[in-house]
Amino acid sequence: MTPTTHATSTTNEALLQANETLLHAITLLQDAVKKINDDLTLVKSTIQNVQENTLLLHQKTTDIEEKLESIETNCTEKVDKLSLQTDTIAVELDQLQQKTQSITRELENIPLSMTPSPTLLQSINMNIDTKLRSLPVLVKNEIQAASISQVLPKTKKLSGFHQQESKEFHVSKLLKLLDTHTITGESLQDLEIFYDTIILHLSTVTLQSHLYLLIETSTLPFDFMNTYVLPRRTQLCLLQIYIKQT
Amino acid sequence: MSPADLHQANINYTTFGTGLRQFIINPKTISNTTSPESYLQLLSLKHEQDGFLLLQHFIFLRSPQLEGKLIDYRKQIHDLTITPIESIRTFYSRAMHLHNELTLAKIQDDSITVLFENIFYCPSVVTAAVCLPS
Repeated sequence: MTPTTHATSTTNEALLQANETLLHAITLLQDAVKKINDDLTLVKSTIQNVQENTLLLHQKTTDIEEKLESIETNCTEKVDKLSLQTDTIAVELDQLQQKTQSITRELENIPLSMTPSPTLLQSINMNIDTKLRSLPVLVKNEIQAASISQVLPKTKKLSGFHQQESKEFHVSKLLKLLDTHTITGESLQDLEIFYDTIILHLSTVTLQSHLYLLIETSTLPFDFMNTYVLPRRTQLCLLQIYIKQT
Repeated sequence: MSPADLHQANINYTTFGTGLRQFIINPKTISNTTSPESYLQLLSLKHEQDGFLLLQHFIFLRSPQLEGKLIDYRKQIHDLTITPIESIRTFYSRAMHLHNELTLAKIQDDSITVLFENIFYCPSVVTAAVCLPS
C-alpha cells in the first residue's frame, strides 16, 4: 500500500464519521423542533382558554352587578313603601287615641242608672235553684271520693329490686354496709357468716326480708335472678312451695 | 307487675350485681392468707360478670351439701383427740365446732353419733376428765 492510498482511506473514514455525527445532530435538531412546536401549540391553546375565561368572568361580573343593582332598587322601593305605611298607621293610631279619650270623657260624665231586666233576673234565679238542688248529690260524691283516697295509698310502694333508685335504695349503701366484712377462715361456719351477712345487708337495703334465703335454708336449684327479678306473685308462689317443702 | 317494674328490677339487679362482684373480688374480702382455698375457688370464678351468680357459685362450690367437694369429716372426727397440755374446755369447743360443721354440711350418715362416741369414749378424754382437780 502506497502512502497516498493510505491517506485517502483515512480521510474517507474521517468523512464517514463526520457524516454520521452530522446525521445524528440533524435528528436531534428535528426532535427539538418538534417539541418546540408542540409546546407552542399548548401555549396557544392555554392563551385561548384564558381569553375565553376572562370574557366569561367579565360577563358574569356584569350580570351580578346588574342583579345587585336591581335588588337594591327593589329594596329601596319596599323600604319607602313601608315607611309610608308606618306613617299612615301612626296617624290612624293618633286619631284612635283621640277618639278613645273623648269617649272616656263622655262616659265619665254620664251617671250610672242601670237596672237589671226582669228576664235576666228570672234566669239567674233559675240557675241558683238548680245549683241548690244538685248540692246534696255533689257533697255525697265528694265524701265518697275522700273516703276512697283515704283507703287507697297515694303511690304504689314497691320493695325489693322493683323499686326506683333512691337515697335509701342504692348500691353504695350496700357496699358501705359490707365494707368491713371478710371471710376469716375456711370452715363452713365462716362461709355461713360471710354469706348470711351479705344477704342480711341486701335485705336491709332492698326493704325485703322474707325472700332472700340464708345458707342454712338454701336448696338446689336456686337462682338469684329468678328470686329477685321475677314478678312478685311468682316469688310468693315459690316461697309458698318452699315453705310447704320444709 | 308492669313491664316497667320488671325493667327496673333488671336494671337494679345488674347494678347491685356489679357492686357485689366488686366487693367479692376485692383482695381484702377473701384473702389468700386467711383463706387460701376460698381464694383459689374465687380465682376460678373471676370470669363471672354477674355478682349474684359469682356469689352463688362461690358459696355453692364451697358448701359440700350444695355443689361443693365432699369433705372427709370422718377423718376429722377420728383425728379429734385431746392433747396433753389442752384443757377440756378448749377440747370441747373444738368438738362443738366440728359438730356445727357436720350440722351445716347436713351429713346424712351417723357421723354426729360417731363424733359423740369419740368424745365420750376417747381414752385420753376420760383420763383427762379423771385427772381434773376436784
